Amino acid sequence: MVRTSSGVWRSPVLVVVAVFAVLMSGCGGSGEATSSKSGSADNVDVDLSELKTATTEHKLPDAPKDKHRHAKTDGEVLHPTETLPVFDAVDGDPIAKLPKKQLKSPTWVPVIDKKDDWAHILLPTRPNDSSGWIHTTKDNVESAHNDYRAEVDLSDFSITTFHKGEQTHEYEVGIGKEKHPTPTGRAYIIASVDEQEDDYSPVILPLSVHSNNLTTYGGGPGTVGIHTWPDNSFLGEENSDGCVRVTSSALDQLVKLPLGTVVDIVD
Amino acid sequence: MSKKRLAALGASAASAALVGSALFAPTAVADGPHSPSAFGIAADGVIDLQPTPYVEDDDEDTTIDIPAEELAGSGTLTAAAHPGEASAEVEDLSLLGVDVPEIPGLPSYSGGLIDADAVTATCDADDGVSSQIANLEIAGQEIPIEAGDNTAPIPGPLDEIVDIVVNQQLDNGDGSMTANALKITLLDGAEDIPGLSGLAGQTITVASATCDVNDDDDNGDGDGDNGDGDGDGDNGDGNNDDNNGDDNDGDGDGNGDNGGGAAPNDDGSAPQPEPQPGHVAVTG
Repeated sequence: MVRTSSGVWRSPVLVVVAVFAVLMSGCGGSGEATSSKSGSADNVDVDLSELKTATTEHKLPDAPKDKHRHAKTDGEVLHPTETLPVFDAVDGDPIAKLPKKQLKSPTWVPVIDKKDDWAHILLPTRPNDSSGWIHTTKDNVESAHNDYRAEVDLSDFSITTFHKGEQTHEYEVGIGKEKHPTPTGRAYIIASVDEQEDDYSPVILPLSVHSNNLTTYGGGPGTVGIHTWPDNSFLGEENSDGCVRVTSSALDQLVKLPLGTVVDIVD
Repeated sequence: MSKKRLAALGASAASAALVGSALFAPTAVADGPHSPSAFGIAADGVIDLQPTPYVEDDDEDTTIDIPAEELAGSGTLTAAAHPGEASAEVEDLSLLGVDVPEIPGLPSYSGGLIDADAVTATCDADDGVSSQIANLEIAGQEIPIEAGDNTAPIPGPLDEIVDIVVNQQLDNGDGSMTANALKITLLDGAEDIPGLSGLAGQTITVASATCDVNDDDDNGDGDGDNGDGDGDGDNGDGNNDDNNGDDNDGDGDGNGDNGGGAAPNDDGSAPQPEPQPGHVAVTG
């Protein structure tokens, strides 16, 4: 029996369990890599060279799908500080690797669920609603809380931004034409691109979703994005090939949203 | 070694330092090149040429022999690899120049279809990857290359015959990056040109360097970053931006993400992003 400071006699079993728990949790955080290719200790058995990079360019048919396509997240976003394997489940099989950058922006992904030190994240790959699990340590990710959210209402032709749940802005938008509609679901902003080649918008915010019926577009994989347009003919119209077109004053606000901000696209 | 020679080549009107941004969507290389390594030239297609000269780890090699007769190439090719760095340089490059392909609509020219005074790719653990091309000419036409570009306007009718990518920068996903200074692709229009028929789809890579590049994600208030978005020292002027890996600060302080956007704000909130020069093809 162990006597605690309060004078109550406690069973030593509790003490042993507490110590054991401390030792167990220490296993995941050492960050030692036995192979330079495979990242932190927890992800050490994965050969990254065999895995597809989780970017807008790639398809992951085996990725688990987001089952709550319009649910709000708790706002956590993660940035991998090293290329991380992405698994199909907690302790599951690797299906991809998450690079530190998307296009040229730092990768930030929204967390849709957590289990111990595993994070269920949305992915920027095809098919739409792709998700995966990453095994995090204090060393292999940066975590931040994102208080922003956006919602695109397709039937209303609007985009609304929220900060800590309060509506901050609402703008009229243009959306995909009937033949090439804007897909629904909780997408997120994957990068912020100061566009050098095309001249219809100074900045383009590519989303994690892709057109459902255009497999390629303009030399790319059919990524859907948010951007402006040289004139306002798009307002309230279905005339893009999937992108959400906004006015330049709307874009001025939207470019401030952190990467990883969920853009929930509803019908 | 190559820096002195580059300085000696000087800055002629058509030379350009290509330390700029890569505009292509990120390329994932499943089976990446060895790091560090470098080569002068390689070709893929009907003409198949393994990287030449090819060096890795701690080695240098120079050759004046491009051992693929149909490439009809000449030049001085140097490749060097050492711990933490790699470089490749091709001087006095001439490709596809035996039966100099006559292009209808353009004056006749001498030399090869592709000529350049110098094509260089470098990789450095701290500075990242960069490329330089001096005096590129295609079918005798000067092709000016703007800093920060990954393509260059090709005058018609050449644009149906050949396409080029310059300063291609690849993140190999394993901590290493590759710079391919000049990639040439022959297009379908090549079929109609005597001397080029049968070569549509042919690619030629000139000057490639691969090495591990240090990643310093934390730019909270580090050197040359843009944590508070004041635009100094970042890649806004297109220096050394890469494709999908580490970015280099414009004032060469080393590697890091641009604009400090890779770490939370002091209060733990998600950072405001800084638009990065580049290109993304989205569905309009």
